Amino acid sequence: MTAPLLEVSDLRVHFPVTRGAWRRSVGAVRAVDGVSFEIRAGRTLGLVGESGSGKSTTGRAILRLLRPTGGRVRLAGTDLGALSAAELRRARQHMQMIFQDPYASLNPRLTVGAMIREPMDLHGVGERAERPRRVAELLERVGLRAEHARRHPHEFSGGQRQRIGIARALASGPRLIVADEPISSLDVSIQAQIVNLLADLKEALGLTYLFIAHDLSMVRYLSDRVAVMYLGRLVEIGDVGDVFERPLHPYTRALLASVPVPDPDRPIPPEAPVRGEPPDPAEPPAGCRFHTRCPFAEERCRIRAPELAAVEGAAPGQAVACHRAEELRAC
Amino acid sequence: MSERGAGFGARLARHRLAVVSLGVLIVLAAACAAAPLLAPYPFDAIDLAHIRQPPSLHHLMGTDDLGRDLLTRVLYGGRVSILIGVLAALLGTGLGSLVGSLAGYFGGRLDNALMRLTDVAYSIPTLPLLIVLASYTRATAVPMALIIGLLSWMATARVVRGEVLALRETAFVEAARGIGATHGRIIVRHVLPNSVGPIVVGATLAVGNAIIIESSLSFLGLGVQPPTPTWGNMLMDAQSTMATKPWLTVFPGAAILIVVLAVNFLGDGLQDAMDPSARREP
Amino acid sequence: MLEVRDLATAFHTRRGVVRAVDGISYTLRRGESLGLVGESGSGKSVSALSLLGLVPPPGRVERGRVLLRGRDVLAMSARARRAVRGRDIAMVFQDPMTSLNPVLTIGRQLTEGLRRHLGMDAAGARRRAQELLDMVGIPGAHGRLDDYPHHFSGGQRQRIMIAMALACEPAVLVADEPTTALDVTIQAQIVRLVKELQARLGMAILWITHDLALVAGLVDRVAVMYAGRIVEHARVRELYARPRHPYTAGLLRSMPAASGPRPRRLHSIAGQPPDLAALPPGCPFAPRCGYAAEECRRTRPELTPTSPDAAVACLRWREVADDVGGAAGAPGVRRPPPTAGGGEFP
Repeated sequence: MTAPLLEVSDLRVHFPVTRGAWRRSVGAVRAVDGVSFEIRAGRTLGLVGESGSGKSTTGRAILRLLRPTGGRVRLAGTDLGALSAAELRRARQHMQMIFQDPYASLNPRLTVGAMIREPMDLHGVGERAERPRRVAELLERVGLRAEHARRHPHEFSGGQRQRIGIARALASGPRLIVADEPISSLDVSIQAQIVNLLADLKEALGLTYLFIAHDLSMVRYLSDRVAVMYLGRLVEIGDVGDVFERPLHPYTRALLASVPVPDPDRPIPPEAPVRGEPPDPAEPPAGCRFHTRCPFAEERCRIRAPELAAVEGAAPGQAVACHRAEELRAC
Repeated sequence: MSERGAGFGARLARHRLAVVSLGVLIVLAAACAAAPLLAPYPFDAIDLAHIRQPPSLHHLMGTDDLGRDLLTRVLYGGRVSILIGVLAALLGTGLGSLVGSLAGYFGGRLDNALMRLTDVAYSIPTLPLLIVLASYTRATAVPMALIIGLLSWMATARVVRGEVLALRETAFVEAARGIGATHGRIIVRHVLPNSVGPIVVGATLAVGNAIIIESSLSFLGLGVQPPTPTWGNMLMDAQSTMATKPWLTVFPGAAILIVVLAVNFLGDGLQDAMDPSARREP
Repeated sequence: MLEVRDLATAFHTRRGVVRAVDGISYTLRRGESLGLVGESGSGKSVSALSLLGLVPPPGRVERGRVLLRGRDVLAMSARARRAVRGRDIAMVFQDPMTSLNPVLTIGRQLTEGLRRHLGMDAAGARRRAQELLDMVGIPGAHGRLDDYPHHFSGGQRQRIMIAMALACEPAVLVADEPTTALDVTIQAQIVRLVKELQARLGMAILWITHDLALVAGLVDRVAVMYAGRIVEHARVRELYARPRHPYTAGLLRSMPAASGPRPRRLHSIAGQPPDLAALPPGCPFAPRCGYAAEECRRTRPELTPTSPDAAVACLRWREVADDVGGAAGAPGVRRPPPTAGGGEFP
C-alpha cells in the first residue's frame, strides 16, 4: 500500500492567553490538542465539529498558515515543519486552501485573471506566454467564462466569487486542497452547485480534500471518511457510511440527532441528546472533554481522557475516543 | 496591465473636478518651469522708479518694494515652491508609508521599535530642528524639500500602520500567504493598494503643508535666500503692507491656494480612480 | 391575530428602485406558527422589519396593511407603534452577539420593556425578569441579572433575547433567523424552547429562515419567498410532500439527506439569486427555472389557490406537482425535472 498523501500526527495548536500590560502568559487556549489522522491520495476526509472544536485551526495549521505548537504534518512524505521558509513557500504549490468567505478572500484591487495567475507566476507553472490561456481554461473549468478574467471581484455574486477562489486554489496544480467551510457563506440554492463542482474537480483532477464543515449532510455527500472534533480533540473517525449510520461516540450521536431533516414527520426530538453549553476552550474539562455534557458520563470519564481506539464489533476503519464505547455500541 | 490602466484612466476621467485640477496643475507647473521664457522681466530686476505699483499694463501683477515685477517673481517663485511642495510630500509620504507598512505588517519588536522611533520624531520640536538643519545646508530647493520631507512622515506612518494592521487579518492576505507569496510581494501587491486612501490624502495635505513650512523658514531668514523668490517668502515680505498693497499678498497667496486646492481635488479623484469598485459620482 | 395584506417595501437607491418586498399577504392565527422561508434577497427579513415599522432609510413601506388584532400598525402614529412593539408583537433577531446592548446589564435590558409597557415598579420588574430567565432555561437566574451580555455564550444570549421578547407576553413573536448563527446542538435546544413556550403561552409565531429543513418540524404552515414575493404557501406536510413551485421543489431536491442512499449527484438550482434592481419581465425565477416557457417570461404569475389551504405563483405548477410525487429523495419521484437551458450562468 502506498503511503498516505497527508499524515497528521499529534497536532497541537495552543494560543497563549496573556494578561496585563506586560503580556504575562496566564494559560493557553488549546485549540487543537493532539489530533492525528491520514488522508490517502484521491480521497476526501470530512472534518466536522461545532464552533470551538478547532477544525478551522487544524486546517490552517496543516497548511502552515498558523504555526503549530506541536506535532507533525507530512505531505507526500515531507515533514512540513522541517522546511526552511523558502522551501515551505515552494511546497505551498502542492497544497492550497479554499476559504470560507468569498467576499473577504479576494483582493478587491486585482482583476480575476491576475488573481488566478499569481500562483502560476510564483511557482513557475508552465511557460509564461501560455499562462493567460491556462487562466482561461481554469475559469471555464469552474463554470465561469474566459472573459471574466478582466473583471474585478465586486462584479460577481457570492457563488461566482467562490468559484474564482476555487480556480485560484487550482492554479498552481496542487494535490491537496483544504476547503474551510467553502459553502457556509453561500445561499442554499448555490451550495449544491459548488458542492457538485468540488466533486467534479476531484474526479477530473485526482484531488485530495480535507473538507472542513459543520453541515453534516453536505459532508456526508462529499466525503469518503469523516472525523468528528470536539474541543480540540478527535472523538470519532471512520468511513462516512459507518459513522453516519452507526455513530459510536455520544457527541456524534447528539450532532446527528440535532440536524434538522426536511420532513415534517421527523421534527427535532423533544428530549435533548446533549446537555448544556460547550465549555470555555481556555478551561477545558478534565478527563474526557465531553463529560460535562454527556448523558453517559461516569466517574472514570472525569478522571482520564480516552484515546481514539477501534471498537470490538464495529467497522474496522472506525475509531472512537470513549471509555464506554463498547457498551454503548449495543444500544 | 493595459486593461487595468484603461480602467483607471476612465474612472479618473469621470471626476470632472479632478481632471480640471490636473489640467490647472499642469498648466501652472509648465508656466513656472518656462519662467525664463515667459517672464517679461528678470526676477531680480530692481526698478526703483516704479516701486509698489498696483497692477497695470506694464506690470500685470504690479511691483514690489524694490520695483521688481510681481508676475515674474510669481512665475519664478512657483518653480521653487511647487518643487519643494511636491518633493517634500513625496518623500514624506513615501517614507511614512514604508515605516508604517513594515511596522503594521511584521508587528512584534519591529513594530515597537519603529513606533517608538515615530514617537521620538513626533516629539522633536519642528521649528527649532528645521532652523538647525537649515543653517547647515545650502538653502536651495532640493535640500529644503528633503528636510521638510524628513520631518513630516510621522503622521502618514501612523495612519498606514493602522490600515496595514487591519488588512493583515483579512482573508485575501491570508490567501496570498497560502499561495506562497513572499512578504514583500504581499505588502506591495495586496496590502498597499488597499490602503491607498489614507496615503493619497496624506500626500495631498503634505503638499500644502510643505509650502507653508517653507514660508515659515523664509520668514526666519532661513530657507531660500533673496533675491530668489518663493511664494512663501513673497508672502512674508508683503505681510506689513497687506492692507495698503493687497496685490503683493493676493497674487502669491492665490497661487498657493490654487495649487493646494487642485492637489486636493486631484487626490480625491485619484483615490476613487484606484478603487475598481468605486461608484461615487463626484 | 396578525393579518398582512399586500405589504410592499421599497428602497430608493441611486441604482434604481429595489422592491425588496413586493406585495405579500398572509394570516397568522392565535397559537399558529408560520415559517417564512427564503434566501438572501428574497425580502423575508425586510418584511419582518416592515411589520414593526423598523425599516431603515432609504427603505420605505410603500403600501399594505398590517392588522394586529384588527388594528393597522402601519397606519398608527410612531408613538402608538412604539407602544405596540414589545407589548403585542415582539421580535427576536438573528445575531445574539450584536442584538444586546453590551454596556447595559441584562437585568436592565429585561426590565426596561416591563416597566415601559406594563408600568411595573422596579422590584416587580426584577422579579418578573428572574422568572423569565428561569423560563428560558438560564441556570442560576437569580444572580445573573446584574451580568453583562459578554458574560454569556451565544446560545444563552439568544435565550435572553427570547426572554426579552416574551417579557410582556406578546400575542405575536417574530423570530428572524434566530438560530442561524448558532451551533446545531444549541439550535436544537432553542427550537425546543420556542416550541415549549409556544405551547405554554399560546403565541402566534412567525419564524423566518433560509433553512427549509429547520421549519419542517417546527411550524404549521410555510410560505416560500422569492424576489420579494410569496411564490408558494401551504400547510407544512403538503409543501414537503408535494411542492408546487419549481423553486420550492428545487430547494428540497438540493438538500442531501443525512441518511439513506447517497445520491450520485446533488440536484442544484442553476444560476444566481436575482438582482432586485434589475428584474426581468415576467416571472423572476424564469432564468433559473427548468419549466420556464415563453409565457413565463412575459407575464408575472399571481398567487393562485391550488387547494383551500395552499396557493402557488407559477403558471406550470401542475407539471411541477406531477414530477415530484414524494419528499426529497424519497420514492415517488417519477420524473427528474428538466434542467434550465443555456448553461449555468447568464
